[in-house]
Amino acid sequence: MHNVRRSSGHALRAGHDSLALGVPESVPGTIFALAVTGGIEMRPREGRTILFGRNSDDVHVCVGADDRGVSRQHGVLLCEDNRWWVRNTGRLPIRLPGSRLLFHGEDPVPLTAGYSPLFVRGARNRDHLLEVYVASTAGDRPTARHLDPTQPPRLWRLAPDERAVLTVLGQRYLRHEAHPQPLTWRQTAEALAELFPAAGWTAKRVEHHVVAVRTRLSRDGVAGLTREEVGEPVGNALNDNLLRELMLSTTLIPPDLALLDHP
Amino acid sequence: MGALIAGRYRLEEQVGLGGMGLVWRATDEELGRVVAVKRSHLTGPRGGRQVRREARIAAVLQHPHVVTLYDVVPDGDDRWLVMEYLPWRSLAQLVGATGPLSPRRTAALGAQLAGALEALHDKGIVHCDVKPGNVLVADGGVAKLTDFGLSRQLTEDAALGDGRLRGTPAYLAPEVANGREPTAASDVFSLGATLYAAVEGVSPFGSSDSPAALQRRSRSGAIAPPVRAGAPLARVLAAMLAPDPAARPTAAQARARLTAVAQPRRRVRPRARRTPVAVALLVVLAVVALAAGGDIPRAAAVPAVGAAATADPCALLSPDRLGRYGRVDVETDYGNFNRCDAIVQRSAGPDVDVRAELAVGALPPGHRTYVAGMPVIAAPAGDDECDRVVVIGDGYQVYVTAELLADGTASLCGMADTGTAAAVDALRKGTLPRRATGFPAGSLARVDACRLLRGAPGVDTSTAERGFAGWDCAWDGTGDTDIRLRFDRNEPLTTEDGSPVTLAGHTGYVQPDGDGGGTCLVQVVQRRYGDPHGQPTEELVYLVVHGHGHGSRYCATATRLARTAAARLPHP
Repeated sequence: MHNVRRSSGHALRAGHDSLALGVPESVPGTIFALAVTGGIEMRPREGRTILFGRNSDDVHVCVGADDRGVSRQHGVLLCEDNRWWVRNTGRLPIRLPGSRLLFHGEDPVPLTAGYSPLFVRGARNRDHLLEVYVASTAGDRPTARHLDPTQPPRLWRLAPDERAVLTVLGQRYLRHEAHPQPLTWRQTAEALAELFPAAGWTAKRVEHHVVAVRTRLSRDGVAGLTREEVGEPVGNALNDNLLRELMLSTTLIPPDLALLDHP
Repeated sequence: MGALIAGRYRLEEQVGLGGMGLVWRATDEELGRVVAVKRSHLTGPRGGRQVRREARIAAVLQHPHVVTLYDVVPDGDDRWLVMEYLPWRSLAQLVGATGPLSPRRTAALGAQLAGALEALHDKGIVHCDVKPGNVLVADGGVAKLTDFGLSRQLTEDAALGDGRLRGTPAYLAPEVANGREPTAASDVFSLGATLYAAVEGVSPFGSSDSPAALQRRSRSGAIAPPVRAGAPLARVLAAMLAPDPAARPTAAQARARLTAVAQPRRRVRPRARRTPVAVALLVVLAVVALAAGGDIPRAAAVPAVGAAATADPCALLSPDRLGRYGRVDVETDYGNFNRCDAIVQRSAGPDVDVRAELAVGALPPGHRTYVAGMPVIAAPAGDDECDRVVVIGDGYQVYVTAELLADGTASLCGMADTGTAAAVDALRKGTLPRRATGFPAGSLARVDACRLLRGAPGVDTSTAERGFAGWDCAWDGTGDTDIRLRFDRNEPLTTEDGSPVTLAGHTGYVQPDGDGGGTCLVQVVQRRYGDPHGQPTEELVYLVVHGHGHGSRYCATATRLARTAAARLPHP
């Protein structure tokens, strides 16, 4: 493999805005692939490929550079029959939206238009996010509604602690799992205590933060965040509705899962 | 015919979009005047409360740089705010139409807006949405802050805390993007971001169609360094845009610093300082010089400069009196020849430079007082500088300046007043003492600066303004540029001072934006010698071409003029 970078794509720099927040208007079928180290944007043409994996010299998009569990060339995005596909060429599986695992040697899976977070499995069950966005028709951006100035964008404010709690609580939503459920207060507190041992996280404190956010959003017109609205038994409904709103408004996006990698 | 609101205001034309509603130009049919009216978009009790709050806040605020609210009228279910109508453009429209503004113009707008924020904050009000779209600008350069749709009293936060992000992501302070309540400090950040956008053409977080992306960039607090602002404005912007709210200046401090940037400077500030050497010896030398000087002119008690080139500016300083602020080190050979500096090394806080400079020409603006019978003008103080001007007569003045040499605080005007009292005492003895030693042959002090560019192409010689003793000169250039040439003394220059060039056998250094945004600075080395401290020192020609574009645009002209000047210098 030599000079894979001399292909017909545009590089996306490291620190590029998450693709979950939308992409610029593009030729239909244009694909964007982005990891923490940067990525690539490529127009569709039969036979074009984008390689991703650990070895930055051999791939277009470097994923999991510091993780020997990720293969040097872990997978490929390829353009065939007028659509983009993903194939696993690595050792460990790639997790696709909807809890689907794609293993080495399996038939490639087509990517749907719009945003797809792919998680490349590494050592010790670490997941490395590869964001992919396939432009369908011009102007199909998730943020297009924000451009209507008379309708102020729905951006919710979260304090850093609240953001940490909700990221842990809603990690299955952020991974685009098939039928995601929130973690329990206790699971959330335990995960936070492991990430931030000095902060003294308890189930009570987790609950306090989440209820505060629900109350604020409810006051601002988000439906389904109070017991009165959903009716008994409440179950996970309030937190489910909260997390869906936070995902939909891009207040929380898959790259926020990087928090879980906190040493 | 447009709709009639509250039986009185006839809507004429939609003129803009506030943060929370549409703005119309309308005619007040009762008073026959043009007004702006705005309806809240929010309906229900929250919308009503929003408008009432905006009305209440705007009503308590009468300020020359805040758009005036006349009335609040109900019309059916709506509430309309009736405001002063200004046929102006918003800063966003202005930058969109004409491109980024010059650093000086940006600073001038910023000083006005910081004044408006200062008045708001004094009343405990936070604007919460300072951005180019909420600043109206007149052709003459007056700016007014508008749209109080998101503003609030600091005391009411808990009751109103809602889930939405307040403000506009591209101009949002990091702590607000991170979920905290807006404060006066976050207004200062947003003003800094607004000014950044005015001078750079893009918000400090770059551009994006996605407000969520901008909010995320704001959360990190990372800002691209400005490229067009020039050092003086960039320093103020960096302070206003500090990620830590506690590190930002208050609105009042920001106003003072922006005012200082907006005012054309007489000259550049000192750059590098030398290491203080042999302080005690110098103080002794200076005192001796003063004592000797004091003996000569007793006969004539009329303050006068005498022959300009031989008048000793160091005679105007009193290291003894400044001694109560710290150790004093006199610098006789720094900057132009018309000046003498006393570096005050304080036990706490950064050093302060108290200097006396002889000047000629028009008097600066400021408040006029008398010190021991002599007229003294107190110029508006900046954050890091305080100026006093003693008027001597015959068009001569002495500038006494106290300037901070690093970030920090000091009683600058107190030190300037001490320096002024000493200068007045020296002047009241009659004609100023002469320098102990003359300038050697080959020194720039023997050159007339105006002669160096006389008749040069691109220089309007008829506009020449000759400074004290002919040691500086200013002209109009072609294409709306100014040209200034003065003499300077400094530590030997290095490539840090610009790209080296050879000009008519002299070494020169070319530096785009070297004298602030929109300038090109060329320094030409005339000769090197040892100053009284024994430190190597260079005499320099300091030539600046200043215009409205990028500084680098003027470097070809500046280099050509510097070559002309260099060819006319005496043998060193």
